[in-house]
Amino acid sequence: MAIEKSAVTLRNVVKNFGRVRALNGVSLEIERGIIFGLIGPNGAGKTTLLRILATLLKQDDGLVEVLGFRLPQDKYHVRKHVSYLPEDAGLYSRLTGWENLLYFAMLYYDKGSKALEVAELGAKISNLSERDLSRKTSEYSKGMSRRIAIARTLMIGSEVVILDEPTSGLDVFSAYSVRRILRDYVKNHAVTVIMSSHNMIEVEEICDEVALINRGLIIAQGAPRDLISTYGGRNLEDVFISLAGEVE
Amino acid sequence: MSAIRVIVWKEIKDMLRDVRTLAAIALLPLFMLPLMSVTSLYAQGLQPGVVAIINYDSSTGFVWGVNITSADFIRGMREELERNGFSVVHNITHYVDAMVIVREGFACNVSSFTERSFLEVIKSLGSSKADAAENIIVNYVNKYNHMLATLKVLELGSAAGVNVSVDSVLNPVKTRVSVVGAGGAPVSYEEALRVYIARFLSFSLIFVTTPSTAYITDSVIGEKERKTLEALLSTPIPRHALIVGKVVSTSLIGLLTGFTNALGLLLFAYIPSLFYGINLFHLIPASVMTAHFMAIYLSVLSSLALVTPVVIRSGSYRAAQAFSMVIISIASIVFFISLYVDIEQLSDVYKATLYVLPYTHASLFIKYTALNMPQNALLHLAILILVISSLVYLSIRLFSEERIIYGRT
Repeated sequence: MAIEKSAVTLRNVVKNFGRVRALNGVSLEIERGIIFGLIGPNGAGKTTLLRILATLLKQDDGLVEVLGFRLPQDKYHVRKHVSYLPEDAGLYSRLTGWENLLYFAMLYYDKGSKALEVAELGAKISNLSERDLSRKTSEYSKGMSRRIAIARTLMIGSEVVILDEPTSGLDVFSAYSVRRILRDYVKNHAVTVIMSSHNMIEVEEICDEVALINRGLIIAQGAPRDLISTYGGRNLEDVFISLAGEVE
Repeated sequence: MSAIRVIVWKEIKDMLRDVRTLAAIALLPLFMLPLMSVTSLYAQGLQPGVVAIINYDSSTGFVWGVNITSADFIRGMREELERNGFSVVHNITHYVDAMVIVREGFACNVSSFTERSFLEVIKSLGSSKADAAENIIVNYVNKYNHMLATLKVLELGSAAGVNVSVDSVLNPVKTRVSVVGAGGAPVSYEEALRVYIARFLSFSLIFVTTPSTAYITDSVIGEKERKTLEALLSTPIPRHALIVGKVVSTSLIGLLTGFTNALGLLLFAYIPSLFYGINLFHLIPASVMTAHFMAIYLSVLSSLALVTPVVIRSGSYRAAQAFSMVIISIASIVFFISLYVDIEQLSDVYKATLYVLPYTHASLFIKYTALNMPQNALLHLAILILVISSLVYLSIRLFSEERIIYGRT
């Protein structure tokens, strides 16, 4: 595998669901080692794009490369280097928090000792007490469940981490806790994070670079500050509204 | 292999912790079926049938030196009914299950060489005891007829001065039935009974398919509904490991539930058999029992193998369950047919249709084991395993992340 500068490359990616065009020629370049935010309204194509990167969907047209591997042909290679947290990701409710972590660790690592080590890292990332980790996740609050889900995604040590709406539906404290986990992890690991969000303030706060997506098209891409200064407005929300409004 | 083990580890843990469902599916039949047997026997004891015998006859008759009276006829019938748990009354003051009317001239007519008597039996509509009473009465009347006919034959023989053998007049044709095995050698009554028991064991497989199909549907579509599927599918776990792991783990639970269902059904039949002095288990050799348990597991696997290719391409629980119901119905038809029909004696078209279904081979595997024909048994076992393996392979080939996440696209 050649060492690619980009973690992700998309060229004119098209995806249809029947007559509905979810992605309408998306082109995007995401550098390695950054937190990349994908923002846009419901139905803009964020989840479809992330699912393609997570090897769950195949594009109908265009080029998709993750870490130099081409999709969908090299999906088995990509899965080894990418971990994905879907929106509203569930946990196995009859397993404990610890068992949820261990299960995912075992799905990635054959050796029991390595899987244990990874699950222990997950437990640390989740910042849940040993007592909480030994409880079934059916007893967890939404915030606790999300911490396990985030930890499960990060602990693998993947080069690319894809997070679809990681703080959606969480209260202020839980969302803050998830953001802190994410920031702490990225600070200490060479990882590319690609996350989608409705929360533009959150994206502005933690992302190095963002892409604004609307109706299956990338309408702007760049560092949050650059976008604000280029397009004007107080924040990304203003930028998005002014750009999406133009598109409308 | 280790990837399959990981899936099995999680699935088994998950299923075993769902204690209520497991208890309902696995343990309930083990207790409920024998309980049904015991309670139905007990309830039958609680509800004694009542037969009214109304006698309008005051005549008498005489055959071969024996006085014939309706009182004697009724006494015998009464004893027979009471021996079988019925109460006999001679007037109708409350509900009766059946009524027997002995008309005037009964004894005179039955003693005659030119007349006949009619016995009227009136059954109450909807009475479960009326049919049983009718059987007892008809059997008793047959015996009484034979006794009277014997006396009449002897009297006629004596009058004609002919030495008469009663049996050669009344039953000139005697039937002798024997059962032979595949090689033409006669087999004992117990051996013949074993084949009937094998049919019953095949029929009992009817109960093993339902739980496993429910579990595989939950195992695959349940992941989608609980929103764990996407994260799982984005991992590097090989698809064959995912499918085989899910099939193996659900088959183990299916096996457990299949055993308890089959055992419950056997107890259901065993308990009443004790009342008739037959030890059902004593008649089932270890080889047939082993074949039965193997057939249970393979039937469970067959159901899973048939359902999985559709489940993994179903968009919803309802669609998957609807197809599961079709599979369960097909299995039920095959196992029901195997109770009454010799599949291999059917016409080629029917036979070929049934041979396509793995359940047919499960049934024939038990049958040939009971018939002590190991080569045929092994042939059907091999076909069964081949069909299951092919279907699992098909599931792996048909697996599509996009299809399972979005349903039909």
